[in-house]
Amino acid sequence: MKMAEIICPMCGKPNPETVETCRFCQARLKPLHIDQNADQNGGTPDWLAALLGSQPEAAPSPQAPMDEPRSIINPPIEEAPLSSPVDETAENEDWLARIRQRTQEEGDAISRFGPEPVVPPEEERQAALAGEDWLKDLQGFSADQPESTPEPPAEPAQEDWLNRLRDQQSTEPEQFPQPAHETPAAEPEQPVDWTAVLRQAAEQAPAEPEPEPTQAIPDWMSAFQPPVEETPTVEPSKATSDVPDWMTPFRDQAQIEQPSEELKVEPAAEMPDWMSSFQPSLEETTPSAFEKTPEVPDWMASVRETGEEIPSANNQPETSESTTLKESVAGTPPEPAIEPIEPSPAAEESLDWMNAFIEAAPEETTTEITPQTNAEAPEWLKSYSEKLMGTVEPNPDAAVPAEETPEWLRSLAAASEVGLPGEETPQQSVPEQPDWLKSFEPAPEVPEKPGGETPDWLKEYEKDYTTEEQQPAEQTAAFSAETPDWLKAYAEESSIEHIPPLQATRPLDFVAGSSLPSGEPEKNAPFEGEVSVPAAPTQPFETSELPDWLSAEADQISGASENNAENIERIEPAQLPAWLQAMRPVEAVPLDAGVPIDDQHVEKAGPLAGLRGVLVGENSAAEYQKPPTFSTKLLVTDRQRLQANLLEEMLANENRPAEIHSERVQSPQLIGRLVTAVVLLCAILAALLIPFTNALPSDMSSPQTPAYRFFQIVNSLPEDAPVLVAVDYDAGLSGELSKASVGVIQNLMMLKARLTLVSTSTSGTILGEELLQDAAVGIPNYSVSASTVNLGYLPSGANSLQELASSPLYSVIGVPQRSNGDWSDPTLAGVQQISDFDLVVVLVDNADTARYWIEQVQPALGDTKLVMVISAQSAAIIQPYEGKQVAAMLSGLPGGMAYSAIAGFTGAPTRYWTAYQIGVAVIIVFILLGVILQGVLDVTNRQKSKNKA
Amino acid sequence: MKKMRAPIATAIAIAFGLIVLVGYFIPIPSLTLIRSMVISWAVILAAVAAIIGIINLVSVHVRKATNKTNQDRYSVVLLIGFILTLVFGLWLGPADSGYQKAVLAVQVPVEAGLMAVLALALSFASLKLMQFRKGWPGLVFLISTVLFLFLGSGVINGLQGVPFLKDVIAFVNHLPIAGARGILIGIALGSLVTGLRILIGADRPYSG
Repeated sequence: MKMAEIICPMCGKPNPETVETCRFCQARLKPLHIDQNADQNGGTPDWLAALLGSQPEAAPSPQAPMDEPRSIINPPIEEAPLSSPVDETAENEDWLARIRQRTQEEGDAISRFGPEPVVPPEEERQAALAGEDWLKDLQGFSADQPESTPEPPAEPAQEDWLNRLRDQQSTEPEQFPQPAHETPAAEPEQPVDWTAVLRQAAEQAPAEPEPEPTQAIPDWMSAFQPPVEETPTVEPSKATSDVPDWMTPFRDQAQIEQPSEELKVEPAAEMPDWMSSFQPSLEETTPSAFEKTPEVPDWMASVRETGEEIPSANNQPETSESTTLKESVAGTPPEPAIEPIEPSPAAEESLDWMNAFIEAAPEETTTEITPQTNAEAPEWLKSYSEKLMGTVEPNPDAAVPAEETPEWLRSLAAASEVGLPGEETPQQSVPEQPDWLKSFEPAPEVPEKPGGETPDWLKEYEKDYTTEEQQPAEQTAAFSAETPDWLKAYAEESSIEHIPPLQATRPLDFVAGSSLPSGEPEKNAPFEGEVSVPAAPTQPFETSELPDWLSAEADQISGASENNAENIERIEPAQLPAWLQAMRPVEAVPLDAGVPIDDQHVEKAGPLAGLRGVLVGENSAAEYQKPPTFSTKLLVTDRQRLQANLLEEMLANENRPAEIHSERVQSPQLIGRLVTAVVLLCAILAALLIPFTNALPSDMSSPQTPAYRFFQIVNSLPEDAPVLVAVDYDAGLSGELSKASVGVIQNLMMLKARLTLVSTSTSGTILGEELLQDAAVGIPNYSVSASTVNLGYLPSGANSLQELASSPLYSVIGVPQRSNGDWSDPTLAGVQQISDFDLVVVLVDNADTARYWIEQVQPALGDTKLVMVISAQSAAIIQPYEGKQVAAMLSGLPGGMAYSAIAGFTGAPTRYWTAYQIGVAVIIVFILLGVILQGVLDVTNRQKSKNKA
Repeated sequence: MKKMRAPIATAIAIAFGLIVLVGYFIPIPSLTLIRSMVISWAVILAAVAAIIGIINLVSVHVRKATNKTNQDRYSVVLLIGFILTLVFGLWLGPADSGYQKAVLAVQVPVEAGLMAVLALALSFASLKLMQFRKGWPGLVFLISTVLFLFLGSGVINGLQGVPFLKDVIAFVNHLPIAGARGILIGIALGSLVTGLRILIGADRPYSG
């Protein structure tokens, strides 16, 4: 025998059986809880121990005592090798392996086309194996028990298979329970059609939400829970091809002589009566009854066949024969490798009730439960299947060979209102029903029960259910955590909507001859209420911990069941008032927050197997996904990019200087200037060279003119009068002013005036000297050197004039020029200060200098007149002073020419006048010409623009 | 030290300004004497400033003439002329007729030539007057220019015998006077405000 390995329910990796935690994921492989009672009983549950104690010792099981209660929920995938004949063990292993394999394949096929099984294949296989083990145990029991009566003789068989279960649990590590219907390719030893029927029916049944377990109820019991009137949210049948878990024990028992490791059996002492009833039934069944029908499931046949060989088949590890079992249940022909086992009479009798499934299997309805019917399946099985599907009303008139119905099944049916198909009244006296089955009967019928005493554990179970009537349906399934997975699976697969209360959906209703579920909760049901049937009933005796009601308090159930039945009638399904619902803290929590908690979902693997309301780990894996990676690149749309570019351009334009548009030049500047210069020069040269005789206008020399007044002032001077001549013009305008003032100088020279030159400009003294020289040319008897003195340059402009006006001349001027070197020069005789001069003649080219003379000097002159010869460009500014501060003023060349004309001086000035006039005329012509040309161009351009428009 | 310079300079400026102003309006002999002395100092300072300017000019041109990267050849000509004028002036004297003729022979043509170029540029600008200044201000300026050129050239002086034209011409001749008076008043007021600002310390052109 090979070393058994434990498949970790979390990661699915194999681990040696000796370890308690997985080497890879550190998940617990063996449950921690320890059943004390089991310890006391050598590791077997109390109820199983009790049963075993009341029963004759069966064949000693070579198995090791069960040290720990096995978890029925999660049976191990692989069975521990049990002490058994090698041949039988090998055969059973093969049979189981084949069944498992077939079951797994069917499950995969269904998962492809239908809902996927939640439980991984390994778990399914474990569940199948557990079911097989359970079935094998049943077969073993049936084989051991003589084919006499289905009742008490079952105890030795029970003891055998219970022992096998016990041994299995002790030798094999416990694993998480596996729903039978989700078991992978189980290894049916011998395919049995009726189980296939049930399996298919369970698979195709709509998923039902599992009610929340409120109490510890074995999984295998949960299948008998009343259906929950809720929308089935549970996934549909996960392994439709799998045999209902509750059926797998039958299947496994037929093939496996020894319970497998995965088989989590309850303590032998607490084996329910229904289990014991199976033993004789299994024994009583004849293989011929099944073999006659070509569609008899192999495992059913093997159940009968192996019923006698069950004890020898103990300790056989599950093999691939379980796949064969599944396949056979699904309707496939059994494997030829399956060793036919002659079922014991008890087994045959117990298998009679299975015929109903075979008969009911062909009737596929719209419900998800579509069991493969067997033509010769008992009617009660058929009807039961139909009721599971919820479309077929129980047909009490369905022909069900009464002789095929075991008595104990009839008794159950009679106890409940749901009568066996084919029976007239479901309340006929039936044989004594197992206590455990009595609990599933409706409450009102409890009194009608045939003598059978409801076991205490069942009573308590009933009581628990009755108290939960007012709770939501999901809560009434208190023992969903404790019910076998195979039972749960079966309950889940069946439609909750159509499944009446527990009593109606109990898979053993057919045993009692009760009607199939009618879709409505039956009254007086001991477990009336919205109780959801577990989707996939797990293998029996797979609960990790035995509920209390199965142990010491089992006696209370029987007594409370009666009261509960009444209460169930009165208690209506729980309807929370609005104000209470508003207070529910659950509502404050968003249902969508976090991982959705499916209350109907029963955990099928791991340490929380069998529990409801467990956070689904599978979903969390799907929810947690790789966080989105955000691109570091800035995502910019086209519009945003365009706007950004516009903004950038606007900001750049702020610092960018404004472009200066160059003027459009209509003609070259150089040519225009040259032409203008040439024309102007030619005109002026011509006027100078050509002796034009252009007499000065007479009005310019009229007595009312300024020139005449100037002439009068000058002529009013006595001879040898000291005259201050201020030469304050620059060399650039010397041509104008020299020509304008020469007449005045000549007039003064003619008057023998003593001329004193002074200047506030740097070139004024030199220009004054030149002026005197030019003027003296026309006056031969005037000596410039003897009659003129040059005081030089006076710096600081207005300050020096102020000083000149306020101080004596010698203090202002150092040494006069062209003098004797002192102030004793006869030119300066009698002149100490500026007011001593008889006339001050200022020759100036700009208005500021003229103002300085006017503002600084004129106030200090007293009676001395101030006259000016000013350039034409500044004459307008000084003209306001004329007549007051300035006695007389000559403005530019015209004024000088007028004075010369008045004074009678002719010659050069006349020519200058003509040239001046010609020059002015040319400029006037230029201006007018420019205006005309510009006007013509504008008109032309306007016309062109109009034409273009 | 810089902070101390500003108030002292301001105080001195204000003091001397008030002295000169008060001495101009109040003929106190001592005040007049001080005023004359201060003005003499101003004249001397102006002369010294002129010399400093000449020295600065020479130094600048010397720097330009001696600059290796960007030598200015005109600065050399200037320096040569300056030196020659200085030498001959000191040697011959400013009253020397020859010296004066030499200076005038250079000085007068240069400045006269500049004035002639200005005249030609103004003549060319007058040709394109309406191209740049379109609109009523340009038209008014154009008309006034032509009119006063005519009046100044003496071309229309013969029309002054016409009674209406004589009055018009007289009226036109008086228009510049009105403008000039406004300018002179503005100048006077500006000069008055500037002087007062300096006297009160609002403007400190001397503080730098």
